[in-house]
Amino acid sequence: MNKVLGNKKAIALFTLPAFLLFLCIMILPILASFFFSLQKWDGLGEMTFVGLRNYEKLFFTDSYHFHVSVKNTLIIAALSVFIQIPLALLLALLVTIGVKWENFYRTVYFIPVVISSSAIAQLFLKIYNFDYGALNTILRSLGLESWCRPWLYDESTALWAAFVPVIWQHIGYHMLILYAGIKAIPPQLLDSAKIDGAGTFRIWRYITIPQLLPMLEVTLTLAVIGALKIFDIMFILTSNGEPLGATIVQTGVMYKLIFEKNNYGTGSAAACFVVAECLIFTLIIRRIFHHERNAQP
Amino acid sequence: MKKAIINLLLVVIAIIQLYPLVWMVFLSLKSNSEIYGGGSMGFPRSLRWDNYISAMQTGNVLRYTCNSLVITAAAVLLSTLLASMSAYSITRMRWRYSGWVMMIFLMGIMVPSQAVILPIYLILQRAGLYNTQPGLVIVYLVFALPTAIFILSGFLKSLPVELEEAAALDGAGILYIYHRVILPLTRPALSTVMVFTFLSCWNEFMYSFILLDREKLRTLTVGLLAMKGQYYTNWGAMAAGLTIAALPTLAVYLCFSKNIQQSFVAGAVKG
Repeated sequence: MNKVLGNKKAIALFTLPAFLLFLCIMILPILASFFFSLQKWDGLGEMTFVGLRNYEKLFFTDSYHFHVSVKNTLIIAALSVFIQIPLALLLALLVTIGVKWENFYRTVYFIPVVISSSAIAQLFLKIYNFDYGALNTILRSLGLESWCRPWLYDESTALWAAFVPVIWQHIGYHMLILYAGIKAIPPQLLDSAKIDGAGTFRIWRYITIPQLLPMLEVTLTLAVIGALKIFDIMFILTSNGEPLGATIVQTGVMYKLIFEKNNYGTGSAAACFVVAECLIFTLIIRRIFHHERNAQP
Repeated sequence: MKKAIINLLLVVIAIIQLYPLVWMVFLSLKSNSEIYGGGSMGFPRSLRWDNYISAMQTGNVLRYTCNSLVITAAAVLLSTLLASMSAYSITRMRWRYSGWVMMIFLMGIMVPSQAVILPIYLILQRAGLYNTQPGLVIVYLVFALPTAIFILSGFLKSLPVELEEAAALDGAGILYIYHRVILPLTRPALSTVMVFTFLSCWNEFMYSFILLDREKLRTLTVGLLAMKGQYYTNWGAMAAGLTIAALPTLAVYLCFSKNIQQSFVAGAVKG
């Protein structure tokens, strides 16, 4: 038995192809990104080691718009946390109190998740179109002509207009995760509360939501990380930051630095910044939730 | 009364989630004169299927679709095969470093793919795989590995050890055991993984945009972007292109919605 399951040749045959590819295309690139972020390099000439200068340049060169991109990205993260997740939670709670078309709602809410962000972005370009887009057409038919504007080209609305499809697309995803969490709560808990005469809100407050904390941690982490690394939808919707860099996101700055300006060092610094940010936020969220769990045993 | 309000709210949200897509499909069936003549909202007056033909032929959507299909199919099959082999050897076979290898694979889940694009671009260039379909397939397959291995190894752990013991007693070799005993049993998990990988490869944009810089090779997500410029004034054909891009994932989702929802939950709860 051990001879069969300890067959070295077979182990190598099974593991090595995936593992070697993984090392070359995933692990090595992470290390390389960090290494490049410490160099001055345009991809052609010599590399020179410059320490943390790239990070300094990233933050203090105004024309890169990096600080704007960090602000925009954090706004998306905040909107996810304070609007998208609460809404997803509310939907998950409402769908599970015994409405008629539970499966239908869950399935429908999730539909935008399976469509590519690229197509969604292009669709919203049309929806926001000044002359024929759905939004302005609806406003006009309601007699709100004065509200119409070129949503994505007006500096005061572009950012918020771009956030709508971002939030819209993934609400169903978070709702589904929370839904699965609610379904996993032992029914005895809910039944005994009902027998004791607890109302829906009390059950949510004292049983469902406390039981759901681990899943909330998962969705919050996914939402924040998803926001920090957002690229496709913003890139297409705002032509990577238009008007005038007002809507740029972090990965958009990274893209510009690397592929438009051939500034590999500073671009890699932006990439590493995103990785570090993801790790830090994951840890912060974990910390908050573990604190919470210890506080209410 | 309370129930009525809740149902109303849920229906309204369902409409919000569906309406943009319905609008897209309606648009794809309208003539330009209808769209620009104030009829951009309602149901199409007459169904203009020629938008689809125009998108397919002059808009190159047919070619983009084929490219997407080839790349996605190759990435799904290869990554599922490699992931299932690794997951098997890591979770069921006996060797010293299996825990380490698993840990390294799972680390990949934490890496935002955007952050490694420059090194991957350079590596593929050096390897002569930049601007080739195999290059993109390799990248997709590697990105799919961590989640696939995670889901498959979770499933493999739940199988009884007696399976291999009985087969080994009968004199079966390890390849036979993997191929004939284990693989058929993991079919449900394999399909979950395949569907999940299919969706992420079909919908991927950034790597395709950067690694395939030739009109002939473009995948759908990127090709639509090119179409956007070319079809600036032809909304019907553009919407037809978008609908074509959305259809395969939508169809797969509606057929396997339970499976897909499970795989998204499983994929999420790995951290």
